[in-house]
Amino acid sequence: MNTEVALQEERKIKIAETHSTFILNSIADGVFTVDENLKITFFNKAAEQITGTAADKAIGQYCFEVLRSNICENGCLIRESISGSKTNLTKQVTILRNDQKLIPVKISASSLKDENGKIIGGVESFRDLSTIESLRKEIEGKYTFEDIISKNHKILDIFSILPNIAESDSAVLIEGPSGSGKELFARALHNLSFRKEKPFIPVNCGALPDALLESELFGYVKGAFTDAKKDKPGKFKLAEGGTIFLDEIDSLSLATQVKLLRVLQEKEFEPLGSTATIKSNVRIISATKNNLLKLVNEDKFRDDLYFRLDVVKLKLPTLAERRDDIPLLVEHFVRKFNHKMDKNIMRVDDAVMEILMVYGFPGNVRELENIIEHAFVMCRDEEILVEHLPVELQQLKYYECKKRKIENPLQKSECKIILEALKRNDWNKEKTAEELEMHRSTLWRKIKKYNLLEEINASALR
Amino acid sequence: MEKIVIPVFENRISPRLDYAESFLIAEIEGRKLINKETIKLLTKNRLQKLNTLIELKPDLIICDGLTDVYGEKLKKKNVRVLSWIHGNANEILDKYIYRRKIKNKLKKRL
Repeated sequence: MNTEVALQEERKIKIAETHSTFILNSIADGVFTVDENLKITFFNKAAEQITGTAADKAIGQYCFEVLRSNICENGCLIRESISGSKTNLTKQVTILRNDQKLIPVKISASSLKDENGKIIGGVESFRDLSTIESLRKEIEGKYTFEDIISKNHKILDIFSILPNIAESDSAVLIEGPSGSGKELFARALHNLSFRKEKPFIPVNCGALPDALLESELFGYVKGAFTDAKKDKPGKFKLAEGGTIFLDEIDSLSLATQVKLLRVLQEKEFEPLGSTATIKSNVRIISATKNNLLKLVNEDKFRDDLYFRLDVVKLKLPTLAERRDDIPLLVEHFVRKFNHKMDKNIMRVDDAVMEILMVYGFPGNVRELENIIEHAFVMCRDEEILVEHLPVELQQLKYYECKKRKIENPLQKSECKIILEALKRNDWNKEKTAEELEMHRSTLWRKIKKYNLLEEINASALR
Repeated sequence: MEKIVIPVFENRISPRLDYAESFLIAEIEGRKLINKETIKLLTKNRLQKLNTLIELKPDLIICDGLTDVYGEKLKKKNVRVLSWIHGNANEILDKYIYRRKIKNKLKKRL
């Protein structure tokens, strides 16, 4: 009789275990349990999906070697739960998957106890915050250097000097064409600096007429002008303790330049209509798409202001100069728009990539982002095809090299790259050779090899 | 001489190179381990940590989790990286030296 009861009990426990495993495997949050030594004892389906590690590989491993979160070494929640120092803990962290992707997750941890109340391990659940986090970053603009997608050596060189620039309090001038990510770098600099807890205030100097810009930057007091019904703080006041980002600095009038120079020199300013001087503790990061020194030589920009702004210069490359980043950026934008538009686009057709790899991108990364967004709007399937691209890109004759009967894929790509570079440089061979970093004679040999002479001659007639 | 850097966490290889605080630095001459020490890099600034790691001039870094930025930068600076390796740091180092010995022996025979 006793044996039968015991067997029934055992059966009940097994059914309960199967039920709980079934339930845990059907929820969207990742859940795992560990023993007292932090070795994984259970790993549910969602945990497999979020971490990219199969349960059979994870079980038996240390949890920190599977999750690789930023708090594993310092401030691990599950460890604190097991030690009994804290209970029911929650935190937002990032985990690093085997495929090098950083995933933001929200984790909750608590200890596991046996029937006698003795701690026998811990349980942690985690929720993938990729979608929420990418939207939050877009709204709040809390970008770090990890949000700058690049494997290009020019960008990596900038990364090397970013910490030193961030630690110093010197003014920074960022030079780069439209859409090259000047504000993203400015935000990354701010978020690396000791001012990161204070505001980051971006101002587009080119977007406002001069009279308005002055009141926008320095604020005004009641009665300063007819409509000034009450005091209004300017951007410098709002940025106190933090960073002000002055984009399109070259569009400042000479009068506003003088006021800005005073802020830089004396660290003080007066709001419009006020006699009181306000002390300012703000770091200035300015940006321009033009050559500021050239404007100084043309007397359109004050040289003393230029030298104050240009203490440290960051020169951002065009997207054409960091073409090796295009596949990475495409992947990033596909992921971003999948989250944002709730779509499930899995692939980008090779022909699309071929077009993107040879296109000139006058609008740089922003233009690439717009192209992918356009494709997302047009694409109803799982793959972005040429027909989903904007018409002008579809018309880009990526078949041109096919017409030239080049079969070797490497040569075909080389031909396309040369042809596009020639077009970008108005068929000027010297400029093209310079852009492609090859000798003129090498370019000339390749032009003949790929039968591009005809195209060049025709262009002269257009 | 070969200089090897291994990020260490509780005797094991740190789960992430960018968040590691302790680093085992080993110097190997021929087939012998001639020096081994542990240093701390406590900066919270990960780019700063990367720069400091590069300044250590390692020939090889053996680590577990490696981010894109770290991987690319180290590659550019000609630092060999054996990543996504976990286990006891000293045992992994011993294994590496042992394999190196065998490699050297094979080279000599050839």
